[in-house]
Amino acid sequence: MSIQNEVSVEKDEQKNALTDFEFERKDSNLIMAYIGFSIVAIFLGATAGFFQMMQRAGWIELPNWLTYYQLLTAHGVLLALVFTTFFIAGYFYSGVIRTLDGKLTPLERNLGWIGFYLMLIGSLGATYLILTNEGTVLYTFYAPMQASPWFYVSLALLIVGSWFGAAGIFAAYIRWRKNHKNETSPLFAYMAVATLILWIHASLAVAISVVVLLIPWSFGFVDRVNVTLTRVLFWYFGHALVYFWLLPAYVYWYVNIPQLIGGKIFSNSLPRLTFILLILFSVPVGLHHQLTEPGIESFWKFLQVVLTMAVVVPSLITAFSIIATFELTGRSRGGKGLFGWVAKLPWKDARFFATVLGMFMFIPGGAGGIINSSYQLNQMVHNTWWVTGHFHLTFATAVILTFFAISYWLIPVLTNRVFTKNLNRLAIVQAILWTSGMLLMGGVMHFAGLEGAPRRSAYSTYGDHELGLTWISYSQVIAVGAVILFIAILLVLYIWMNLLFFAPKSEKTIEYPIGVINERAEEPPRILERWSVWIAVSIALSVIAYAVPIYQLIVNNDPGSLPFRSW
Amino acid sequence: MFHMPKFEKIWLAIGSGSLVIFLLITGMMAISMGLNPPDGMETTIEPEQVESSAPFNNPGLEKIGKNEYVATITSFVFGYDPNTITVPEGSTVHFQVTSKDVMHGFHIPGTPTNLMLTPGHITEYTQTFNEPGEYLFVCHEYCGIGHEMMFGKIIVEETI
Amino acid sequence: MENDRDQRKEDKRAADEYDQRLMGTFVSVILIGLFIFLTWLSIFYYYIKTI
Repeated sequence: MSIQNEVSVEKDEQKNALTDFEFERKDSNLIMAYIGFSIVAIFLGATAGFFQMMQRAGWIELPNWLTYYQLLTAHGVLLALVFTTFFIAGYFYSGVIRTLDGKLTPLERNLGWIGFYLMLIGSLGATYLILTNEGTVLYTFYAPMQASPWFYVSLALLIVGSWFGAAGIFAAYIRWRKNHKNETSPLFAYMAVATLILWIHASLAVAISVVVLLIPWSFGFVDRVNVTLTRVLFWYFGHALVYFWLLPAYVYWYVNIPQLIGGKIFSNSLPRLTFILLILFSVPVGLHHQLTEPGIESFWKFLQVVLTMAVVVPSLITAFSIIATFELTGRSRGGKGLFGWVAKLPWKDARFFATVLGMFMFIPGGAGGIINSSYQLNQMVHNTWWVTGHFHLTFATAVILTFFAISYWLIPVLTNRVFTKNLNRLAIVQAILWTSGMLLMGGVMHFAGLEGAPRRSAYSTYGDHELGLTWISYSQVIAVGAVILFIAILLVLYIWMNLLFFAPKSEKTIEYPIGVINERAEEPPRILERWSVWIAVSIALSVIAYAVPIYQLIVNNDPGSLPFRSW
Repeated sequence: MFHMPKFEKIWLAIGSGSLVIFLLITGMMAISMGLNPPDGMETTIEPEQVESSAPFNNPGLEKIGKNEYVATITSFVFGYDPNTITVPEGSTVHFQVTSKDVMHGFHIPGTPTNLMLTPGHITEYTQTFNEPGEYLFVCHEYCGIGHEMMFGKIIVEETI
Repeated sequence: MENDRDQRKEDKRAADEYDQRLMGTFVSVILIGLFIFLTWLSIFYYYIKTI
């Protein structure tokens, strides 16, 4: 025990010595490419969302060359698929380089660049097809609505590109393990590897759906497609996808934030255990998105509901760990009493403040998520605006505010420009605007959804039905939220442009914050780093949850569907 | 191995306990009261043939008992057939719905009748209407350019 | 023997003290849990009312 303590203290000192860290030019270019394109994507995606909401509230009419559903498709594809994947790749590369001996090998860097270009081509292709109305099938692209075959090819490129990006990170991790036999890997790299294992496992399913089922069908090589099978494969991926967004935010909360607030990482084992649980349980749960549809037996739906509840547990651990880090830090700075420590936290630092607002909003988001997956309760909310509200609190608030906070130090580290006091103040205003906009939008969507307002629908009074008119009033409150959010996105864009091009250059190296592990923390058990074990268990769980429902879909005489272009 | 503070153990016990309670409640309702979300395993023939094969060659409302009806409904871009159904207060309606083309939805706001309509499949659900009034039902799965115009009504008439 | 027991007492006291430093965290997560639980119950009630 005492020996272990000494070892970990010694390691802490090594890590502290690394605060004077700078990226090599070649590496920072790669990170910057990913982050740069993610900025383009979020701006375009948010703009589409803004005009879409103005239309739904009945405040504007769209020109005849642009429909509500094109905007909705652009909003979903650019934000849920493009922005996230690029930003996460950039953030992961940065932290992996920082914690795994400071630089990439040429092989790893080239994998990163191949990934970047494939993803770029895929994203530009998909965007072009959406704008020309050839792919107005939303980001879920449910068959038998059939987009241009090139839309599916573009999506496939985006996914395959992300695999190359992941391969670069895996290669760096394997290289580090070889050079550091019998050492525990740095927490950041460990978590990045875990997240990407989850991503590859899940995205294989959607890749199969796109490449094996949808592409041949859309080129006309086969006439019919098994609709439910494509949907099951999509949601096999789709729920893990939301964890792919959330886990990088967790990485920031666990690893970077403690250093920013002058604290230490609470435990070296529990965060790893959390990520392992997330790898295991975020895939075999996708059927909770399909609870109300035919062709899948109730037993299997309920089994996946049970597994969905299991995936809540790692988030319970996270809630405790993060607040505990805050409390221990606040107390070490002299905070007394039950909540005296709260006042000792750096509230005026946007890199902390924006994140905490996001964490707060994750609480109602999480509550809604548990309701969504509570079997019968899902019938009250499925495909209503409630669901849209749910992921605007979890993803668009908790995760996105965290990503904003990351960008406020990551871009300065890359450009060596200072995140000045003024920019920090703007960023705090931005976080407040973003949160209030999302409360109006995501919060009110929950209530509108309980009243039955459908998600994914253009302006309609439903034949002036009383209920339809109520929904319009809700839309208008939500649209006010959209206006606030649009101002907030312009503000963050202004901050980013400054950090990229105009803010003063720093004379000192800007710190890349990586938390130090608390000296009381024990060495994590070796089993946590035996990836083959966890991958095997993860696959086994997915087979248990999915084998029979998929088998039934294939043998159950599904007549298949011809393509339709209904937009 | 995993040192956990006492408070964290208590928190995880309470948290996981609550999740188990949620599962027990939903699970018991499913088993003892038969309250499952719709899960029809029946398939139709090819979606293009829906109109010419039973029961969808004759969509509409059929009375099968006192206050008990079967509503056979087809959905298509962008509407339902029939799109208005009238039943007396207190009626139990067995819905059987399918799609002739793309994915559609069938949601009666304020009720658990919240169905996905997959081409090639028949979605079944039973709903009792105790309150008189004009119930809207809407398509809540994006199905194309006229998606927001796709809706219908269930009129539940007061009985004297 | 005696020493051992003292040592154990001492360890336990230290651990308890350390735990007390997380009282605020404990109260916070319990409040979060309570919020989630009540939200769930309210939607459950809404569902029960409609069937």
